[in-house]
Formats: sequence, structure tokens, C-alpha cells
Amino acid sequence: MRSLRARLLYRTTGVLLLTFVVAALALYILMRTALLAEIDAALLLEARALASHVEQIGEQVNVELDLAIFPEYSTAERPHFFQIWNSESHCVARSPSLTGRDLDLNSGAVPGPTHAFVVLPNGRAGREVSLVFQPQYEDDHQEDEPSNDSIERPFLTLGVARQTTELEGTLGTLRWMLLAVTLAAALISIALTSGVVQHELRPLQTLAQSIERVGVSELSRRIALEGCPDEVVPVVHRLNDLLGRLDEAMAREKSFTADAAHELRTPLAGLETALEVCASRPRDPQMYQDIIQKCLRITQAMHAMVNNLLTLARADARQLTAQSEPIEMAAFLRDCWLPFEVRASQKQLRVEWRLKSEGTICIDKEKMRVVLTNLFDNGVTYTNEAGWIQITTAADSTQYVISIANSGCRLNPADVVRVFDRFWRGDEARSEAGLRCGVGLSLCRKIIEILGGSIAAQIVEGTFTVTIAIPLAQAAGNAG
Amino acid sequence: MRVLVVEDFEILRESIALGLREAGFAVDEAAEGATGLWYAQSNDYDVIILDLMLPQLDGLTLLKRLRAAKRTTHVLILTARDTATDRVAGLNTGADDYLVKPFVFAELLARVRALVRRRYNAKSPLMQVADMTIDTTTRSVHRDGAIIELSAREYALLEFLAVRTGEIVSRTDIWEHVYDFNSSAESNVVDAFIRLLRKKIERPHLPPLIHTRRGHGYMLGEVS
Repeated sequence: MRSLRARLLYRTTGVLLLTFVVAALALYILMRTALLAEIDAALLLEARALASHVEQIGEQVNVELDLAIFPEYSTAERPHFFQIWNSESHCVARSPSLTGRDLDLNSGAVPGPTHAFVVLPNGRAGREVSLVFQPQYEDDHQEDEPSNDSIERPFLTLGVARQTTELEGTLGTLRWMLLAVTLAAALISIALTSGVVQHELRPLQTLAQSIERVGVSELSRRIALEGCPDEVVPVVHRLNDLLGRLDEAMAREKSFTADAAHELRTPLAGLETALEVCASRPRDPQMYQDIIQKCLRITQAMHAMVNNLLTLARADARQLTAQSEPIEMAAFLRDCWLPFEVRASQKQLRVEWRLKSEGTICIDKEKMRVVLTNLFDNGVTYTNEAGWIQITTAADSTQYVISIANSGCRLNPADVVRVFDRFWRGDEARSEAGLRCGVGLSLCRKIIEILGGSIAAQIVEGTFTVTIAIPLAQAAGNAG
Repeated sequence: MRVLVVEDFEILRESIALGLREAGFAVDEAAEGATGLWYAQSNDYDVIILDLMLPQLDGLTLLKRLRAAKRTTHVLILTARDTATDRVAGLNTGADDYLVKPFVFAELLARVRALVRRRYNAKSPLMQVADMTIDTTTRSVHRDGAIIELSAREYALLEFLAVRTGEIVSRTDIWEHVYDFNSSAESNVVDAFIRLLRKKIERPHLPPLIHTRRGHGYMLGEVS
């Protein structure tokens, strides 16, 4: 059962029904006990009255009963019954209504009256009270208490019974009435509960509707708290928090997409215009070659840009996971440098390797390659002609440090805080406008953070240095 | 007609310049905002093609300073930003047109030509000077039932005289609108080109169209 409404309805109705049934049963038992007590009291009264009419004269038990006064003991229609037994359980007297048959002898020597359900001689259900008593001893008609004590007075058992047809009838009617009332109450409660549940769940429906109205383009919208029950308020708060986070994420995504599109449009415009103008008339082979070279350079740059943007987007979406493996760092650095060797020698750069530590660290190789490729690319691009690039590694007991420094930095030292900003480019990078989109360093920082390390930049007197520190808690083997 | 291209992406700037030159424009190029502003203030360009993201001085600031200096040169903004906000900001700053990268070069050319026409209050790309017809789109010239074959420079000179039909155009004006910084021309080159142009368009049996106003310059049109 998924529906809260159905569950509330069924549970509430179930509980109500159970309550009704228990109440009806209790009522029934109470009524029955009360009615029975009334009958028992009447029977006992009758028994006491009868007992007072029993006399023992010598060995003879005499019931001084004028049946004309007690017609109920001789009537054929719903008669009352009595029977008296002596202590040997021999019948000494019985009502005419018994017509010689016996009542059940219920109690032996139990003092006080006992009540029991019996089947009467006429086959009907009945109630009988048994009373053990001592009959009046009538030697003569004088009260002589002391002499009474001196004579042994036998104990007699008196059983008085009557039909309980009326009781059964009343109880039967009561049962039907209770059943009917319980059923009616159950039906009414189902109907009312259903209505109440529906009414009380309306805020949830309203909430659902207002959530439904929040489209992707309206994430700035918040769900109103008005009319919300107290229990739903926290849910609405959490939902609004979630909407806020979604809104921020969407805004970030949007601005990222816009920025990324912007960065890709410029090289595309270059490609398109160059090709269109070139194709507008026949050119000499040298010009074709020039244009093809330039366009190739743009497509390569765009390729790198798209890779960086994609990686950055994945990192933003937390889809990047690090898979560490042991890397021999010095060899790995030289391997990552290989693609830049030609450009470096074209620019006559002096490359200084200061790999003091031959360490193996455990880190995600491909992500580290992306970082180093970006840093080397920046280095080769922004170093002045015939300048230098210095690659240094060091390690202490806590971390492994890689520094890449280059000469010829024309950035203002104050710009150092902005170099990791997305889509930020220093003016010197503008000469490469359209070929660089300004996410390289921010991507490096993102990746290094995912890898658990830290990255920092420094600009001192025309030297630009990027330092990566990888904590050795992550490193395996010796790094020293 | 002379156009300034201010764009920092080298291949794009060079390609636009090449395309415009081949379409008969005199083109100057600037890779940075500061240079662009200096060029724009020191020459009377017919159209300036302006990128917004520029080093040192961004396009919008350049445009603001240009307008603050009372320069009314028509400016076409060329940018990768395509939101309405960006377009409105550009136009509100005083730009005359807007083109989003990447674009089709033919469209850029058409827009530049439209801006040129607007500057000289011409609506039609067809110009009529007496019995001579100049089609600025195809850059063809007809007179006396025949097509007149002109070199790019001759056509540029004729077009500039034609947009100012009936006015006296000084040598400096011609120099400023027909030649760019790349032209290695002597100061008397204008007179030489006028002579060449006369040979090609004048007909002995028709009234002359190019008139010399000594000490002032030249005038195109029929003088009654």
C-alpha cells in the first residue's frame, strides 16, 4: 500500500473498528453480568425465602409452603423449581413443577450460595442457586435457643432454579444491537475518516502542485510555506534548500556553457573566415599551405580546449575519480614533456631538469598527465624567446613537490590571485587569443584537488612558477 | 572605402582584412584596443570592425572613448557573446551593427557595405552618375552600353568620388579613404590614378564626368 491516504484510511478505520468491537464486547459482558447478577439476586432471595419455610420436625423435613401463595412452583408455563436434599444427597422435597424429576445437585458442603447454569428438567436452559442451610427446628412452637443448640440440626441443600429464556432473549437482542451499532459506526467512521484524511492531505497535494510548477527555467522560484502543516514545513524547507542548490548549479552550468561557447566561437570564426576568404578565389600554393597550417593550428588548439572544457565539466559534475597507480615521477615528467620538445627548441628555450628525488608516488597517471601537459604547454607558450623553463622535484617526509618555472612572464604580480580563475587570461595570453580559452590552470587546480594535493602560483620578477604538492600519505614506497 | 579591423585573434583579423581588401576596401588592422583607438582617432574610417574582448583596452571602452571624442565613424561589433544583454550593451554604447562569431564572411561584407552606404546617405547599392552606373555589390561600372574594366584601386577611387557626386573631394580625403597603411604610394599617386580613371571612363562624344578643381581636388558628375 503506497498511498498515504489509503494507509491512513485503513489504519484509522482498523483502529476505530477494533475500538468499537472492544467497546461492544465490554458493554455486552457488563450487561450480561448485570442481568445475571439480578437473576442471581432474585434466585437467592427466593431461596432464602424458601429456606425460611423449611422446618425440621424430628427427622421429618417439612416445607411449609402454600403453593397458592407461590404459584410459580406449580405452574406449567415457565415454572420455577426447587429441590431440597439432605446431607446424604437424598431428595427430601421438590417443587411440583419438577414433576418428580431432579434438579442438579451443585454443591456439597460449600457454605454460601453457589450459582450455576443448568439444563432444567423440561430441557430448557436455566439458572440455579444452591444454598446450604439449617432448617428451623420446631420441637414445639417456642423459641428456645439454648435447647436448639443442644440438638443436632442437619444441613440441607436447597436448589432453586428458573428458566433464563428472558435473559437469553435480552442478551441476544443486545448482541444484534451491538453488532448493528458497531457496523454502522464503522461505516460512518470510514466515510468520515476518508473525508478527513482527504482534507488533511490537501496541503500535500498543494505542495505537489507547487513543486510541479517549478520548471527548469524557474528554479529561482521557492515553494510557499503558507498553509503548510507543521509536519510539512521541514520538508518544504529542505525542498527550498534543494531548489537553491539546483538553481546555483544550473546558473554555474549556464555561465560555464556560455563561457565555453564563447571561447570556442572565436577559433571557429577564425577557421570559417580564413577558409571562406581563401576559397573565394584561386590562390597560389604557398598561400594554401599557409592557410592550411594556420587552420590546423586552430583545430589542434580547439581540440585541446574541448578536452580541457570537457574534463573541467566532468570535474564539476563530480564524475572524475582518481585511480592511483605507482608512478616513477622523474621518468613520467620527461615523458609528458616529449610533445613539447619541438616547440621548445623552435623557441630556443633552455630546459633545466632538477629532479633530485627519484621517487615513486602513487597517483592517477592520466589526470597527472593532463595537469603536466597544461603546465608544460603554458610554459612553452609564455616563455620568452630563448628563455628558460625549469622543472624541479623535491620530497620531504610529508609531501612530494613538483615546480615548473619559466622566464619571460609579463603578468603583474598582483595577477597571481587570478591565474586560477576560469576563463581568465592575462593580456599576454591575448596574443594567442582564440587559441587558448583560459581554463588550463583552473583545470589543473581542480584535478590536483581531486588528487588530494595542492597547487600554487608565484610571480617573482618575470618568473612564473607553479608548484604542486602531493601529500605522501597518498604516496607509496620511498620518495627520498 | 577604408575600414579598420580591431581583432586580437590573428588569423581572424588577417582573413577579414584579406577578404575586405579583395572586395576593394582599404584596410588597417589593429590587434589591441589601444592601437585600435589611436588608429580610429587619427583617421577618418568609413567603418570600424570591432571585437569586444581585447587586450589592454576592451572593445566597449574603446567605443565609449571614440564616441566621447565625437567620432561618428560607423562601428560594427564583432563578438562571440551572443546574449541579448551583450547586444543591447554594444548598441547602447554607440555601435551601429552587431555580428556574432562565428559568422559568414559574405554577411560581414554585406553589413560593411550597408554601413558605408549609410554613411554617404545612399540606400541602393546601385549608383547613377549622369549616364554612368556603378554597382557597388558586383563592383562593375557601365557607361555608354559597355562594361568598363577597372583595377581594384581605380574602382575604389571611382566609388569614393561617386558617393560624393557633385562635391569637391580633396586629395587628402581620397588618400585617407582609398589607401591604407600598407600602401606604399607616393603623394602624387592620386593624380596618376585620376588620369588612368579618366582614360577608362571618359568618352569623346559624351560630357566629361571627372573634373579637376585646381588647388581643391576633384569632382565627379555632370557639370552643366
